[in-house]
Amino acid sequence: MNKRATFVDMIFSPLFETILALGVVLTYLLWFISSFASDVNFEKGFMATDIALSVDLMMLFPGNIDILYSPHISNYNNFFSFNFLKDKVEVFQGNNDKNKGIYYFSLKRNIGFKEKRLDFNSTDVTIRLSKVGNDFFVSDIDKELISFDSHQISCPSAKVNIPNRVIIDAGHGFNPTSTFSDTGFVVNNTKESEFNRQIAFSFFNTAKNFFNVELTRELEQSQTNPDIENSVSEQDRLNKINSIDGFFLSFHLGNYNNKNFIKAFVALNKDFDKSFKLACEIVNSISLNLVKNNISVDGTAIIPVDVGLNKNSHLNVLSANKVGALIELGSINNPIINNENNIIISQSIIDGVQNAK
Amino acid sequence: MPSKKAQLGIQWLYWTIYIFITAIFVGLVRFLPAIYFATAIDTYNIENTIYNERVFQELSNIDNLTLRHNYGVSDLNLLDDDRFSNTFSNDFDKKLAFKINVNGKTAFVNKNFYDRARPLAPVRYKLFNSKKPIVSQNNIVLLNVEQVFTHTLKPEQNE
Repeated sequence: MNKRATFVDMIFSPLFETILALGVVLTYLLWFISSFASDVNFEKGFMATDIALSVDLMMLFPGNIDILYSPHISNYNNFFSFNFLKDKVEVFQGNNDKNKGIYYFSLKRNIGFKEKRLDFNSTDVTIRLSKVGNDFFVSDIDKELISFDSHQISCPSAKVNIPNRVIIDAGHGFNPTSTFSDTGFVVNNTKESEFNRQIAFSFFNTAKNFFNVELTRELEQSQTNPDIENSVSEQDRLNKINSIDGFFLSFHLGNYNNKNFIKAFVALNKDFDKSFKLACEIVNSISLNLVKNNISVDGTAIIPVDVGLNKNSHLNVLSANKVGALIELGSINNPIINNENNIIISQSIIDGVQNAK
Repeated sequence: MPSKKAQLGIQWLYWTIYIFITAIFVGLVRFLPAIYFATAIDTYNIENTIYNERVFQELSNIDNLTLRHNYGVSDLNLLDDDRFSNTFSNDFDKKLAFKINVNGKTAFVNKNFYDRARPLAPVRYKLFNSKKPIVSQNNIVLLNVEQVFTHTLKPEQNE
């Protein structure tokens, strides 16, 4: 046997063939795993799944939740667009991408959501997913710094039957010429009763375009003496509320240092569920619109009141046996009641009532 | 010694078998990792767990005075289909349904789909079961949630 024959035998020997085959196969395997891990389609699918599951998880929480999603990968150079539709999220590159990463999510039925598309030209992106009250928002924090009102309350979803007549009660009422006077809180000669009158008057002018409107006391300021208000006793106001078929809203201010709370007091009576829904939607609407207009809100609350145990006279109005709420709009120390804000607050109350019905 | 023609035939047979086995081997290498990865990134389990938790959450009592969710505490007298009317969006095309059972009381989410899909599971549709003890009227009872859902991630048309 010559040397050439020995060499050929070695080349085709089974051992050499096996090693060669394994080498080829392993090289291919490593290449495949590497390409799979960095595959753009895989990445799009992964992001879509990750975001959709995050949205599903957010629906699990009863309160407000805000998530900043940053799928930043340091050694990754692809830019993606994100399309949030009513039931799915799409991740893609350019409008003609045929291989979108798609995954499905399910919002709760009573959650409001507007479809949103986010386009990025960088890998360093931060998507903001926010469930606030009964709304779900998606935003790009680098383009829109939406100021969410984190004090939104999760209102009961069921609509309630509310009459189309509102009885407006401006809390307190002061007449310096009479023996009866009730100013409410007074700070530096600023009377709560006057603020209550102002917001009630503003709401009256807005509400009469939407509802039948009744008043528990006159709201027009005296032209001859602006300091004189028509004063009506609490019992008279309560009697008037009880005598009219409709729902009532009583306006008041709180008394806190440097804090603005939007609160509603609701009577624990047979109409509690209706009043609660009404108050919840109104408080949410006021708080949301104030924050949108860069007016600070430090908190919201719906406070049930057992009228029988109540020792605060200004809450007596809640003993009216009907749907209604006492709304507390900020603080006498830091009043938010002014001509500009009154329009915002009045329209917010209208929106709140419409949301409840 | 075989003739040259016979030697050529043996070589053809050798290479045919060799290439065939190599092709099978390369094919396995190509598709096995794909199957393995697909299994590794399958999110059914966490997805179904989240959905079942949403059903559990919906069952929990809410204190109207404090708005606190008393997780795991439920008044099962109020267990009916309407209770879950808000749990999932109407716009959710993915097919899934739930049967919630406790102490002989039963409620359904998407009952029409459940009735149609349950007999066909686990072949045509998938099943996901979970159990959880809850407090109802001062008694601890076992709540069963059975979820039936489609295999595919994409919504099935013409269901």
